[in-house]
This record gives sequence, structure tokens and C-alpha cells, in this order.
Amino acid sequence: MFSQLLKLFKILNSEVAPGQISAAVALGLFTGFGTLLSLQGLLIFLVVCLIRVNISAFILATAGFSLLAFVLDPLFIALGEYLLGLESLVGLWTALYQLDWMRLTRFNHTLVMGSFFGALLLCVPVFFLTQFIIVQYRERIMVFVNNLRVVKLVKASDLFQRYTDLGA
Amino acid sequence: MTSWIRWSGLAVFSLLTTLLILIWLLLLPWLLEWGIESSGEKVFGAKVEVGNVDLAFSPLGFSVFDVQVADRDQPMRNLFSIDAVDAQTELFPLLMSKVIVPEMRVQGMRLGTARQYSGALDDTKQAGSKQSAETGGSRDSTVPEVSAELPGVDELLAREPLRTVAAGKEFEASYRQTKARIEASISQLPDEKKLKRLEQEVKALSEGKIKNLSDFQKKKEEFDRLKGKVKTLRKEVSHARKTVSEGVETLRSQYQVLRDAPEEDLARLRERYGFDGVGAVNVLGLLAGGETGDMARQALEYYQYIDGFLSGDENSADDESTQARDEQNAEQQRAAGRFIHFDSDTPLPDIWIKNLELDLALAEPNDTKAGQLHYLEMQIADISHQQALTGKPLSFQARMRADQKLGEQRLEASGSFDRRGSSAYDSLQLSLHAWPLSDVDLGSGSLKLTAAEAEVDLKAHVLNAQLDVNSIASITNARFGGGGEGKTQATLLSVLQKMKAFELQLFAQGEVQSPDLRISSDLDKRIKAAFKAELSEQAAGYEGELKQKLQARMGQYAGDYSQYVERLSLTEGTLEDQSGMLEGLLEQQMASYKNELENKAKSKAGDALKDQLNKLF
Repeated sequence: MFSQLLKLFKILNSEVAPGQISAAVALGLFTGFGTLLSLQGLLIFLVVCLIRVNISAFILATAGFSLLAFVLDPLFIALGEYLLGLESLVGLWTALYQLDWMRLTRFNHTLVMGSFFGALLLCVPVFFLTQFIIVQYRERIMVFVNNLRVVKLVKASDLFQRYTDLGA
Repeated sequence: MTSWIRWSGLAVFSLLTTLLILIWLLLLPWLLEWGIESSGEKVFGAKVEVGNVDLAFSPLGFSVFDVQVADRDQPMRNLFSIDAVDAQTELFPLLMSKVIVPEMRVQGMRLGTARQYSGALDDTKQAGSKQSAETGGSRDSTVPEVSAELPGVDELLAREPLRTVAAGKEFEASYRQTKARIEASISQLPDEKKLKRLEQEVKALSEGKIKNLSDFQKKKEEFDRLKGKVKTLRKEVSHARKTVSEGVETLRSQYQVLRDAPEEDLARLRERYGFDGVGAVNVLGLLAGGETGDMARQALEYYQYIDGFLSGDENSADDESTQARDEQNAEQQRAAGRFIHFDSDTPLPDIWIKNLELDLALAEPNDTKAGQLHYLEMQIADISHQQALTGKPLSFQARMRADQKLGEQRLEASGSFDRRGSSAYDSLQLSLHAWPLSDVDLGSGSLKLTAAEAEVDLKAHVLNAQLDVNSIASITNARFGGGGEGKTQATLLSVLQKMKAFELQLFAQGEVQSPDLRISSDLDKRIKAAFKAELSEQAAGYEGELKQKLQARMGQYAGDYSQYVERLSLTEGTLEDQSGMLEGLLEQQMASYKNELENKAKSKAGDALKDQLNKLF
């Protein structure tokens, strides 16, 4: 049972390319600022499951951005109020409001609209920034970390051996 | 190309989504139960308890059993209880936490049932509820208490504000002041001796001989001095006369007011109490204070709950305070995020029950009252607190359940609650035909309308919190019973027992919480006529005693006024005499003496000049 779980964990985390991790973090923006339990949240989760992105990074990013959302919510609400009240967009919102499946997204809620738009604005910069950090980390910091005694001890442990064996 | 697609992820997604849906379905009954209880507690301010919730999937719906909603003002009673609720619901809105119910059926709804334990939400609310329960059960303070017996005369005089007392106190104060002023004025006047002396001085002046100019001058000086003295005295007497005259006039007019006060008091008390016993018994008190009054108050209470629920819509605002509160709520909602609604053919309010059918039990099945209606069928359409979204007002119809009909009796009611615009308009039409009444408590003692048939036509509406009720009722085959202690109660009962039929018109206007009630009825006139014959002798005696006591009070305040005014009249006479005497001294004696003095002076001056001229020549 434990082996099976480890295998599953390994599979899910086999996507370790910087782009895959960055994509996962960028997608985590949407579920972190918004909520997973919504139509758009489920769509994002489907994309994460279907596309080869790092799921652990996605989960961590969702948790991290959820914490950040506590601070940013008032800003998102104000953004949502502005967007939903914009005269030039009322026609678009009204047209979308007639579609039942669109209403499931609750797009006419100020927080939902604001957080989604905020995530949309930030996802591209976050993707490239994350990629840059990962590359720099691997080139400079990881070498230093791998030489630390505690890391060498963990790598020598049984659990880590079984984890690496699963990849074989 | 497909290397970036993880097909196994699709399986994971499907598995997780299915798991999520299954958990949601498992939890849904509990979520529904929790939702009904928590939202119900917010609306009703008291405990809401649900026994059981069952789900159905084809069609999607739910059944709720054993619902009890406590009364926040009487925590040991339920506002209403329901045996079972069956409802269909739409799936799509439910996914968005909107409850849209096309059809709902409520069975076994009862009002005011007893609870086994308190339905208050917490201690503070319980204390408030207990307090309001203590007072809320009592009769409406805006309805005058029916006093079946007149108070005793002394008790009546003690508790009523009397004009006699007020006028008496004013008179006493004025009397003291006027008396002091008069006494002060009189004390400065010369007495008889002084006046005699003055007269003698004037006489002595006129009797003396003038031998020369020097004598003349002396006489002249003495004359001037005496004249001044007389003038001063005359002024003082004149002032005293004026003071006395004005004082007497003031006291007379105030005494007249005091004398009239008992009659005024008597007239006012007669009008208010109606010493023939009629004023003490009024139809308004009979009906508004009794069971019918309780029913009206209960109806108003239910209206408050409905009004509170319907006013929860942020889009409605019918007065400044509601608007201010709504603006504050809107601000709070904006801060927490809110839904912004756009025009749509399929609006989605938070709750919308499109059609509700319910059986309302008005009495327990084992109630022993004959002909008592047990069940009412009601149909209510478009129940939602967001009428601006639904675009439809809440409307209802009620009628007797078909199996409950007895003979010709008929009940029809309809109405609506319209909160779509800025003005709230609620209306009710009620029609009863051949409606049996039995054991209706009246608001006086233990009098009861034991049996009757009623024909009622009632129209009521509330526009911007202003109530307007217009109702006409014809009561036939009336039988009265009961009655308490006291002669008036017994007389009232014997009078009522002769009334077989009467009409009532009820009007109510004003604030919903405390409207102005007006009842007119031929019952009133007939009771008065009957009472007049029965109690006229008692009325005369009562009124006579009251008059006597009022006169006695008036007399106490009047004091020795009459004797004092008599004395002042004598004083006025004396002052008049004195004034006349001084006038005589001044105008006649002194004026004539003045002429004589001038002539003598002239002749003496002439003789003296002649002597001097003779000496020269």
C-alpha cells in the first residue's frame, strides 16, 4: 500500500522541468486567489491533471496564494466592482449572464471577477519569474544544498532509497 | 505533440470529481437541514428545528419532516410547526446555492403550538423574550380599558385633574396679593382726627384779622401750606379709592371664574364617564380588548415577520430609515463581495418558491367548539425576498378545505405583498359568509359571545408602513353569556342578551404598530338606550354627590372673600366721604377765602398808599 502511494507520488512529481513547475505555479494563482470548488476551479484542476505540470508545485502554489488572497481580497473586490460596473462591458456581462453555465462560474460576483482577473494579469509574469528562480536555484543554490550534511543524511536514508528506486 | 498530455491525469480528475459529488450528495441532507435551521433562525430570531430531511433525485427534490419554529416573544410556544414539506427543486440553481422551488406542498401547519422546552436562541434573547412575553400577552395599551364599574366619588375627584382646584389656587394667590395691596394703601390715609384738625386749621385761618400787609403775607403763607396739604391728602385718598376699586373688581371677576369651575368639572366628568354607566362600557373596549382583539394583534405580529423577511432584499427601500439601513448593509456587502445582477429572462434570487400549497390547522382536531373550522387551504405564489429580481409580488389565496365545509359557511381570503418598487404595498381581502362564532371572549369581565353567525367583509392594505383597514360585519343569531361581578356587568349582560343581531364597522388607520381604531356599531346606541332606562336614578345620585363635593371644594378656596368684599364696600364709602370733604375744603372754603384775602390785601395796600401820600403832601 505504502509502495503504491509512493509510486503515485513519484508519477505525479515526475514533471520537474522548470517550465512544468512554473506552469503549475501560474495555474495555482487561479485556484489560490479564487476557489477550487467552482466551475473555473474544476477546469483549472482538469488542466493540471491533463497537462504535464508538476502537481505538487500546483498544490503548494494554491496553498501559498490562498494565504496571500486574505490580504489581496479587498483589492480584488474593488477590481471586480470596477469591471462589473464598467459601462462599456455591461453588454458583455449581460450576454454572459444569459448563459446558465456561465452563471455557474459566479462571474457576476465582485470577488470572483476581481480575483480571476488578477490571476489572469499575474499568471504570465509569475510563470517567467518562477522559471527564472528555478533555473537560478538549480544552477547556484542546489549545488550548495546538496553538499550540506543533513541533505546527505536524508539521501542516505531508507525512505529516499525506496523513492529513487521507484523511478528506475 | 501529445507528449505534454498526461492521460492518466484524466482518470485522476474523474475519480476525484466523482468522489466530490458523492460526498456532496451524502452531505446534502445535512447541509439542507443546517441551511433551513440557520437561515430560519436569522429570519425568525428563535430556534428552528428540523426533524429529518430526505432527498429525491428523480425529479430532484427534498422532503422535510417535523419542522418547529419557536416564537421569539413566547419561547415556550411555536410560531408555527409543520408536519411535512415536500418540494421539488432545480439542480442548476442549487449548484449556485440558490434554492428555486417550482412546487412545494406543506402539510399539517399549525400556529401557536406548545413546546416542551424553550425556543429562545440565547440567554439575552431569552430575557428579552420573557420580558416581552410578560407584557406582550397583555392587552394593547392603546385600547382603552373597559371599566365596568364607576369609581367612587372621592376616588374620582382624587385622580381627575379639576378646574375647581386650579381656579381655587389662582384665586387664593390673587386674594392674598390684592388684600395686601389694599391694606397698604389704606394704612397711609389720614384718620378722622387728622381730618378734623385740618378742617379746624382752615377755619382758624379764615377767622383771623388782617391788620397789615405783614399779616396778609403770613396768612397767605399759611393758606398755601394748608392748600398743599389738602391737595396731597386728596391725592392719597384718590389713590386709595382706585386701589380698592380695582382690587374689588379683580376679586369679583376671579371669584366668578372660581364659582363656574365646579360646573365645568361636572360637565367634563359627565362626558367622560357617563354616569349612567354607558360611557364606561364602549364597544371598542368590548371587541378590541377581547379575543377578537387578540386575533388582530396576532395577525399584526405575523405581518411583522412577513414584512421582515420581504424587506431583506437590498433592492427595496420604502422609507428613509430603511434606506439608510440598506445603504449600510450594501456597504458591508460591498466590502465582503457581492453579486451584481444583470437583466435576464431567468432571474435567480437566493430563494424563490414559485408555488406553495399548504394546509393550515386553525384548531386542534379534538377541539370541542361546535362548528369550529379546523383546516384552511392556502395557495401562495412567488415567495422571495428579492422581488426586484423575480419581478413578481408575493400573492396568496385561502379558502376552507372542501371536507371542512358545514352548511353555507364560506371563507375566502386573498392578497399580495408587493415590494418590487420603492413603495411597499401589501393588501388583504377577507370575506366570511355564515361564519359560526362560539365562545368568543369579550373585553369586559368574563362576558362571552357564546354563539353567533357572522358575515364579514374586510379590506386592508399597508402602503409605506401606513395601515388602512375597512371592515363591515353583520352578526346574527347572537347569544351572550358569562358576566362578572358588579351591577354594571350584570346589567350589561342582561342588555346584551336582548341583542340578537347587530352590525359593526371597523376602521383602522395609521402606523402598523399602533393604528387609530374606530368602531361604530348600532350595538353602542342600543346599549346606551337600554342602560339609560336602567341606571338613570343611580346616575342622578352620583352626579348630585359629585356636585356637592365640588361646591365644597370651591367654598374652601373662597374663604372669607364675601365678608371682605363687604368691608371693602364700606371702606369705599368712607373714602368717598373723605374725598368729598377734602374737595369741599379745597374748592369752596379755601377758594372763597383766597378771594377774600386778595380783596383785603388790595384794600389794605390802598389805605397804606394813601397814608403815605398824605404824609408826603
